[in-house]
Amino acid sequence: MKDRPNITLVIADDHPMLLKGLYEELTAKNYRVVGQAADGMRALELILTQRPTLALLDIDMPLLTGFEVIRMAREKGVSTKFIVLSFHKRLEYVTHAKALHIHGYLLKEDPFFEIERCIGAVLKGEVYFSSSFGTRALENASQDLKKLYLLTPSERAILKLIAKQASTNTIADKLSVSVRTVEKHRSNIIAKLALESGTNTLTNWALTNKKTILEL
Amino acid sequence: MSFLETNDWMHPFVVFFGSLKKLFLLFCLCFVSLSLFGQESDLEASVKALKRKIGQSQKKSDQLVLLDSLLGQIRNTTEFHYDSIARKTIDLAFELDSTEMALVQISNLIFYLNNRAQRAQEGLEVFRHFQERNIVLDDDRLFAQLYTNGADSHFFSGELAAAIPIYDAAEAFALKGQDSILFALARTYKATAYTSLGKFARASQLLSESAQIFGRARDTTNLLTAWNTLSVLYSQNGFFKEAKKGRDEIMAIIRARHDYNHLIPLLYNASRDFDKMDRQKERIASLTEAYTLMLDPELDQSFAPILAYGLLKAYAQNDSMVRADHMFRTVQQGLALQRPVPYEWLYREALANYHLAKGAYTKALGDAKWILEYGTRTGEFEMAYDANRLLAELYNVLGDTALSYTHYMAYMNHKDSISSVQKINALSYYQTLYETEKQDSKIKAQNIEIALLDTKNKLKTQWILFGGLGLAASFSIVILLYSRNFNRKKRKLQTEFSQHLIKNREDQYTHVSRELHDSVGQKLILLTKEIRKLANGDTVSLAESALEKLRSISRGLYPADLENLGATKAIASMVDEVDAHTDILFTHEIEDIDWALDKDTSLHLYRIVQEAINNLVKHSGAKAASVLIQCKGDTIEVAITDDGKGFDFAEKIRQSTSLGMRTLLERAKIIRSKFRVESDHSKGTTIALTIPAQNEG
Repeated sequence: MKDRPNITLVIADDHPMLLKGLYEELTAKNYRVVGQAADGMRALELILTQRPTLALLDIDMPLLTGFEVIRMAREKGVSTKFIVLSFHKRLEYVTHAKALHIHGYLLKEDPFFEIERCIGAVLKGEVYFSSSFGTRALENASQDLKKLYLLTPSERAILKLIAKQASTNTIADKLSVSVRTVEKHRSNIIAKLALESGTNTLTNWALTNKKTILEL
Repeated sequence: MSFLETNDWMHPFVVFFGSLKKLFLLFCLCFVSLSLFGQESDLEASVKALKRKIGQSQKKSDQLVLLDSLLGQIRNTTEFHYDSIARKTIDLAFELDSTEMALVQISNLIFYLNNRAQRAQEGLEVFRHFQERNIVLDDDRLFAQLYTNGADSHFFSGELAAAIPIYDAAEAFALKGQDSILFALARTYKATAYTSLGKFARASQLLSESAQIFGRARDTTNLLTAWNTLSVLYSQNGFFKEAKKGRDEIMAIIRARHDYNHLIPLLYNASRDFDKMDRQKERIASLTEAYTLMLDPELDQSFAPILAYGLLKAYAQNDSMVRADHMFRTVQQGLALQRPVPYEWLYREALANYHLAKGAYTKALGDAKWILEYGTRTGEFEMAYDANRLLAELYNVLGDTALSYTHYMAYMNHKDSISSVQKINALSYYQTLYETEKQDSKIKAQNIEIALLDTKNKLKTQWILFGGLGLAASFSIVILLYSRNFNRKKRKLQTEFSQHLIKNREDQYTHVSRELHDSVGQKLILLTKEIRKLANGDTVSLAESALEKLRSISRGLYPADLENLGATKAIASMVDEVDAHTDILFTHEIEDIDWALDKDTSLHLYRIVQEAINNLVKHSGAKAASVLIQCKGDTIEVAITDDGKGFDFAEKIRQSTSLGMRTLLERAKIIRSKFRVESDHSKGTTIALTIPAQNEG
């Protein structure tokens, strides 16, 4: 079995069964767990005193949430890399984690090999998100296309129609809304995708990326 | 429903004062008892503890919060110097720029001075001082309450005419704030002012309208008050039939509610009207029913003496001497021994009638003279009127024709003038009816009688005589004010109760969500993990879907997003989710509001948006909708707009089934926000909310 003398870990979860399970799995694979916390405050304390290579944190914890622990630890200048182990399986959380420059986001029910894969990627300086989110398709896509995830469901629906070369009027008709509403959505999409404003910019962009857009 | 524990009891005196030209009715209200709190000592201890905390707190803002809760505890008693504490709190609130808190306290202080301390004059000063400040605040309901209290101060101070425009302003604010109950309350009180001004037609119109509003809002207690006031008004003006009709309706409801404390005064009023219509049997029946009910010691005994005297007088006047004797003994052995004798003028009146019937003329003469003297001194014209009638009759049997004639003339003068006033009132009443084109046929019948009067001149001079309607009027006002105070308190209690309920439910949901997450959630996660290692696709997806279901239930109970992602993202995410699952196109522009709201306010805002969107999805038939949240200065503006079919908000709120909308309104109140709905059947609906930011800077 591999020995990992240089890697230290702090883990935190307010559920004793899950914390214990995680600890056992990690130590069985020879990871060095230097601290376990059952609340956010204790987790922060351990991270600040132990300065682990990695910290695996739950989000919903008493006293401080996982996100708060990460923010406060960063403010204190620790170089620990963070992986979130969460109950919440929603894209908003991933987006939020990305915005906080968190290296990994996993779900609590993810199998242990997923955790190992994530740890491996994060140690190499990569970012890793649970495969349960099915974002693999965009993993290798350009920065531009990744922005598609910023769109709301309505904006995506409209973008798909634009990609099919429907005019604003046709879209308005088809969705039974006013032309003004469609225009409002178009300008929101342009802003989110950081496109230059111009009459055909969005239409052209949608045509260029038609395949990806229709797969959304 | 028990009115006993929670009510102040007061009894009125109607007094005339002023110059020859200006005459005012002054209502002095006296508290006999004040027993809001069963255990005074508990309150005292709690007040002491709070005062100590206030003394110790260093920060002025902390002091303000503590003062606020102290005032909340003592506002219904006169023992803790509520007014001076309230004044200090108001000053402090202004100093700390908590304008809203200051205004709430001003409103409460005026209410206290009017209704608790009977120092309406001081309430008037507080209100004028407030007006001088020219405060601008976007809270129409608060202003409606404040102006209603201010108008009450004028009313209770005898400045009747000045009270009217202030009630008007209160109404306007209530209308802007879309609060139909506050609107109707202001109208009801305004009607009382118009009644005192002798403008019965206007008063009756206002009362009918208020009654309709209360009826639609299903506010039974206020509805009954409005009806009662209206029926008293009719009775004062000699419309005994109309009065009876209204009163019968009220009594039917009150009987169904077994609300005997309110039934008794109504029965008494009925007996007086029966007497005036000379329906003696029914007069005695009403009195007997009331008197029998009163034998229940659980009921408020304040009316007991009035009923005993009333029965004694009625028996004596109707030659039921056995019963009269019995009642006489009961009164002499009980009430007559009290010092002072309760309602002595009524006691004397009953005695005079009894002695007259017994042939004990000298005794009767003594009592009658007493009443005449007392009635003249206090300006109670009805007493003088009755006394003169009695004296004329007594001097006649005693053989003193001259004195008998004098008193008879005085009696007839009063009688004529009263009926003239009634006719003038009748005139204006029917004029109003004419204007509102309601009862053309009735007018014709009355025209001949009315034509005999030179109305305008007489209206002024005979104004005085209206007071002669006396006791019936003052007595009815007892009932009116009695229920008014009760209504206010009840309304306040209801608000507190429903807000408490919402907070409580929120706590419970959070608790259940936590429990689910901690127990079942944890085990389900482990189970899913284990199954993934061992089993095939179907079993795995079964476990996964169970976990998914748990996630959505838990999120429905308590939106953990609020803590994890902040209110801004949590709300955006909620809108996106609805967007994804419905055909409605949603747009949202939500500025960062996380800095401005505390945890509770965030939760209420989240729930308000959630409920508004739920309604929109269910009922609006909209194709597009938007959620806009912006920070403007120190407020947060929320607008939820759709292009659907719109709805009548007032109608919706009145439907008792629209619990969601009601809860939404209560939540808006809890977070001290202004709530508006603009809805048009062709242009869709906008629900707008203005929330004061909490953490400034």
